[in-house]
Amino acid sequence: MTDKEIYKARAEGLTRVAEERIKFTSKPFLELLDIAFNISKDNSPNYQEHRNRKIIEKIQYRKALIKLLNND
Amino acid sequence: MTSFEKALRDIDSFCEKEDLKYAIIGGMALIAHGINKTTEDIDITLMLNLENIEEIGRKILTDFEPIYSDPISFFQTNFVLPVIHKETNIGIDFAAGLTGFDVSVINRRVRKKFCSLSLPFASIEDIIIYKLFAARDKDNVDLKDITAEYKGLLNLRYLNNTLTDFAGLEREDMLENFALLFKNKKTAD
Repeated sequence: MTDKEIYKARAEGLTRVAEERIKFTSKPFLELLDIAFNISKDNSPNYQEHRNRKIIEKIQYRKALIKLLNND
Repeated sequence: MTSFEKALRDIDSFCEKEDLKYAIIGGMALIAHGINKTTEDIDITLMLNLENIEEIGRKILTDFEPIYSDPISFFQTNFVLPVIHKETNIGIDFAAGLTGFDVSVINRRVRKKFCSLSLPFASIEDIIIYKLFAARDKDNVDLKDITAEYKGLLNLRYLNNTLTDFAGLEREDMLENFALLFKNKKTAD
């Protein structure tokens, strides 16, 4: 089997695994996430605080990536 | 259609309408790759540059609600524009893809069928690299789950090349941690 054939087979396998999983798991999982999101938003007094913390983490991550890769 | 699907559908329509190249990253991308992780928001990497960051930020704000005052200045300073999807109140964080790696992530994105939609997600290899870079405890847990699920299916050549580039920038730990994950996996098997 050549390298090209191995990579092609791997790519096909990857797609197949992902598609099979999605067929069975994504929809109900997103429905569950919807419920969790609404409960969290409506009942947690700290929801906005929690969201702010996550945004700060993302900003720090983004700045670190730019600093490292763009030498800024 | 779930709230997350509605928000994702509108992000995709918006980016198509404005001709913006993007990839979905973070928890939603993991779910799309079959690794179910809880998430409360949607993370997007957008292809842009410092010259058009203001223009693209203004376009985003025509369709989505900002959560902070002076959002354009916030985007230019922090390279993340947090907004809310008006119909569902789901948080969406648009990150400026300003590095060569982000460009590669967007170019390597895979359009996948996701429930009722077809959307562009970061590849599983690029998610691994993002997580190796972050290296928080929760990222390490996700990395173990990914390597367990995708053993034998990853593009190791791409991973090694990209992680070697990071190692050249004093992030040797990313390459080492990745090697360790695979070593542990092989040992466990």
